Amino acid sequence: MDITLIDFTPFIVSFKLAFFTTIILFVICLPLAYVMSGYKGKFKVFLEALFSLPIVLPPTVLGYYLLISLNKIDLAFSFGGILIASIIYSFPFMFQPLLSAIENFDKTLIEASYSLKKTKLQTLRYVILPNIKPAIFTGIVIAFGHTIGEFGVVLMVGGSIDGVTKVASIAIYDYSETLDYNLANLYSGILLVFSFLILLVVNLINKRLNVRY
Amino acid sequence: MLDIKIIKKLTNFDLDIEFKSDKKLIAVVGKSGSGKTTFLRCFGGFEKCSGSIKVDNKEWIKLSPQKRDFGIVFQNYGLFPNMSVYENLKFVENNPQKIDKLLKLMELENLKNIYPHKLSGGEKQRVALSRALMTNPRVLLLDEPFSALDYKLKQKLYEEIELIKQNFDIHIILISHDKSEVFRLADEIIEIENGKIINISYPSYKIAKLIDKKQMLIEVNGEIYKVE
Repeated sequence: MDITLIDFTPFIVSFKLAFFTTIILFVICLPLAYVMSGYKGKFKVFLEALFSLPIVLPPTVLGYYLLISLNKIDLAFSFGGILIASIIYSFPFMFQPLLSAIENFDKTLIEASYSLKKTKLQTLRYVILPNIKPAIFTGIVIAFGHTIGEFGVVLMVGGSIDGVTKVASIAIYDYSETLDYNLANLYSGILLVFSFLILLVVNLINKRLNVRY
Repeated sequence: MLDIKIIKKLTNFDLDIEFKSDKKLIAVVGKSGSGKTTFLRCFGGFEKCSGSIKVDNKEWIKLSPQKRDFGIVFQNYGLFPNMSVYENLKFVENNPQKIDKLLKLMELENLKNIYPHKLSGGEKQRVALSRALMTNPRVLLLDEPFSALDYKLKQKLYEEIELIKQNFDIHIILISHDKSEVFRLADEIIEIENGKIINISYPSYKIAKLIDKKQMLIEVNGEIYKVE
């Protein structure tokens, strides 16, 4: 197989999607996790279940509802559409590590910071964030990796438009359907190695960060 | 001048602590579960309580911890692990002169670039004390400062607290479960049980008998106690 003839566009779409999804998720999830960690109201259990829903919900169910909703605002079968879908689908993978880290954070450090006249924002910036680096890193890498491997929701919301919504996992599906096993094999191999590397890097870096903190 | 009346409903009893004092070091002593830690947390504003906390006639009860003029040394010290000794103090105020003065006073100059996880218990406590003093607080809260220290470190801490008493215009509220630990330092001892004050005393002790190099019997207000 001549590797220069292989079309890597689906990988580029996948990485672009994962990149934007991860950045947007981090910006949304960090303040939300901080607020949720201090929230003790009666809707806490309800909100926790809602935020974890994408983990257990079949991708086709989520994909169906998103397709109907996004179609109304002309975002179905577009990159914007699959970006919104990815943000919702990968949400718990960023949110949960951050929430768990902030909830389990040593409250003495927060109170020490308050006693030193520091505001909640200063405490978040200089005390909490630097000490939950492993959780931040885990959230970012897992959300990125999870988005790269997304299939069902993206297929339902975006279809398979070359260079726009056709991500690597959909390309594998297409090649399998057309019995092009050489390309299906190559694409699958790349995703397999990539996924393994992601977990390996997460474990190695967390091990180093945990030694210090 | 401290004018305190702290009320809080707890699971097993109601906390109701009321006293006035102009003493420099007030020790609040009680067994585990007597309410002394809750008292401390209410004083610092970490828990919502009713009543009144007047420090030099200023009412604190409705203020957030940031607006109360106090420093605190927690039982586990509460040092920021991502900051060196120097940075822990610098975080409060970027004032190299003040930081160096405190580090010198607490004999921490050689440790200023060390991170907390590499410090011993006694060193961590000295850093926490220095950091708490960085805000020039009116009140210094010490939560069980002697509990994790051996004989040698306890003696050192006695000296350090004496040093703070002499060098700073400050009220110190020291929480302890062991009355014998505080005789040497306290100007006033408030004993609490089930959330209520059961005794207030103003110790003046004299050594009754030396047992060995580390222990002695002292007489406090007519009663004999064994102390280290």
